[in-house]
Amino acid sequence: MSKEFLQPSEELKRLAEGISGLRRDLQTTTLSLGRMERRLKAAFPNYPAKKKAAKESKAVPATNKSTEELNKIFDSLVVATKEEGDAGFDRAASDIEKSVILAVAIEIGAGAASRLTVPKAKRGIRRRVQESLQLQF
Amino acid sequence: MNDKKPPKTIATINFKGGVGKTTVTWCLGDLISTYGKSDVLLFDLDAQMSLTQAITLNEDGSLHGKFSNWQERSEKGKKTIFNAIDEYTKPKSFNFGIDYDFIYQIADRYHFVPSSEELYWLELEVFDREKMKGLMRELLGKITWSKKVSNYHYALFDCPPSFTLLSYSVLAVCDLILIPVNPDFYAVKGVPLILNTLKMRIEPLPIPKIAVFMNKAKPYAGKMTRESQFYWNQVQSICLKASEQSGLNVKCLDTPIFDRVQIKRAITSGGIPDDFVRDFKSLWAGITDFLNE
Repeated sequence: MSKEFLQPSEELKRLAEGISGLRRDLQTTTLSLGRMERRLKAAFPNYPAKKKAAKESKAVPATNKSTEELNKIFDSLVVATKEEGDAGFDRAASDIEKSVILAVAIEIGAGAASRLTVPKAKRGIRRRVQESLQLQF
Repeated sequence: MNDKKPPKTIATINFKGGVGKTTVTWCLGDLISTYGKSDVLLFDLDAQMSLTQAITLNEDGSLHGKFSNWQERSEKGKKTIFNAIDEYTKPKSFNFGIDYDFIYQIADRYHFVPSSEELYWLELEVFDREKMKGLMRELLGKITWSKKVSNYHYALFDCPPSFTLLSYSVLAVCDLILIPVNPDFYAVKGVPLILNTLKMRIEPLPIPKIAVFMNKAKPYAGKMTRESQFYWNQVQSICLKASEQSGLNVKCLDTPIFDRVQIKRAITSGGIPDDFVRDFKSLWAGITDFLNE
């Protein structure tokens, strides 16, 4: 083999040294950044201004459907899934108003009202539908 | 003349383990013998012996002195439940005297037939499987007519979470099958399974009344949480279909037992916790109403 090229063991050693060097630089940079950040916070405690996490719009109006009505809607989703599978669920769920979807999910205990979004509600309902199908006599 | 009547028999079963069969059976027995005026005989038919251990072990794992003496007498006199089965399955007539060497007295009105580890290999040792099915009928008859033991109003059975020969002999003779379910998918899944099994295995013998209730329901503002209610709705739907399609006499008792920490120590502490008395009284009322329908 030509002496122009490094032996594998030499190549390995060079790479290891390179990695150590980079790690040292990274540590130094992190330390410097940390120091600067601490000085900044000491001088300007409120900087940067804390932004409140933008809450997902809950513009979905509440529904006035009763427990019985919501349970019937859930049953219709079970039937749709039983007949046409997941596609049936998606089709039936897309025909239901968002506020009703949220209310159904809450009614069947598939999510808490304060943290529920429409996609989460659909996922929760789909899981319950699958359980319901498996629990049939 | 002996004016004894056979006890009303209730078997607690669910193929799912951990739903609270043992605790519920024990609490009901304690309730009606302590707060009511009934004499109760409790059977532990589970080879895992959970009920037997909970009743008879001290907190440090040693046997209660009273039980230890009784057990020695019972084993020496060949009066255990396994001896009863052994005697019954012999070709000759069933010669097994019933007295307090077979039955352990927990309290004045609350008596107990403990389990035995030998029940684990019962299925392998019994050759006359067909005959085994009549065991509990014969045994209850002997208990009823024995002058040496109390006149029991109720016999409660803590069944194993499987369909063994022993559970078959109980289910074929009992007045009511009590199925506790929990608010989770797997516990509810046990309901159609057990209803189907009863339909297939007990017939042509008459199938007893079946009562289902929610145990360990999650509470919220004095009611079940919506999740618990969802699973309870599923149970009700299953039972309704079972009644319509299979003609089973199933009733869902709307008297849940809520999940609270104290219940875990109910048996070892020796009494049904005060907080649970009202719930268990409601459950018992539902059971007796159904039994007397």
